[in-house]
Amino acid sequence: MLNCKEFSQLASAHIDGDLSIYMRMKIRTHMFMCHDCRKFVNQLRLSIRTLNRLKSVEPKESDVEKQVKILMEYEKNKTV
Amino acid sequence: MDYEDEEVLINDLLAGKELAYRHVVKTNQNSMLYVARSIAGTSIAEEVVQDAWISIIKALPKFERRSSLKTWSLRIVRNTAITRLQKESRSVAVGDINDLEAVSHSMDKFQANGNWSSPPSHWDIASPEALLANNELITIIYSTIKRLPPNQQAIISLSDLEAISMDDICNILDISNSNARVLLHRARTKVWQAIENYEGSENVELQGI
Repeated sequence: MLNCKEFSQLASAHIDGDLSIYMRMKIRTHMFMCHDCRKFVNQLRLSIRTLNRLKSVEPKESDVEKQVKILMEYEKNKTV
Repeated sequence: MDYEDEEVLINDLLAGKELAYRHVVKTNQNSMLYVARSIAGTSIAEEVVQDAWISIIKALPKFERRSSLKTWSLRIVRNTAITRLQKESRSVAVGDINDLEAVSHSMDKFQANGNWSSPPSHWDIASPEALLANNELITIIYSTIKRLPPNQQAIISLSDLEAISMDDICNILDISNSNARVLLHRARTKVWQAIENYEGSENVELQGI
């Protein structure tokens, strides 16, 4: 029988579908009986889905400029 | 210009077009930095990424398209980071899975017998849309990710922000699936905790405490 701490450590893999059949059974059994852990999984899933929709933070424009400049220089010197 | 088609992007890169360079740098720079930081450490991460860009452009004519351009590029970053470490005779900073910080963190939420010490509270937000509409929460989430240890930062951004598969991530970061799973669990739990703290305090305010 899983306790809540053990359950929480498997929650992430469970959401990603990355558990063995045996572990999936143990997870489902615990979730069926534990209201707190059901809530945790739903909240964790919600957190992950939100991350999925977040735009990756774009790098600073100045850093992009600097890197592009270096690459253009490299291009120029290549064909010389 | 927004490059939807990877083939068009690759062709423009091979032709040395500035717009194409600008696009790849903008879309890949941060994930490249995360990978470089987690393998080589923060102090040389920027140099590693600069070196990696040159390697990527050099190797691009031979890119076999067996994976996406992004995944292939990140592997080059990994190789560049490892080479750089070897040059400086440092050992790979994979990070200790059993770090104290994580142990004490999980002790907070659970009692010795494995039960919740403070169970998850009720969240008013019920969907990603509701969360995304809350600017304060979004700022909190970004700042939580920013403050993660480099390994957790790399893994959560590659997995959940960049949608790279676990197999590719293990390949890029050179770690086992079980290590990756532990790191991802910790990183995601921190994001959950940040939202939980926000939602929990909102509840307290509503109750007039």
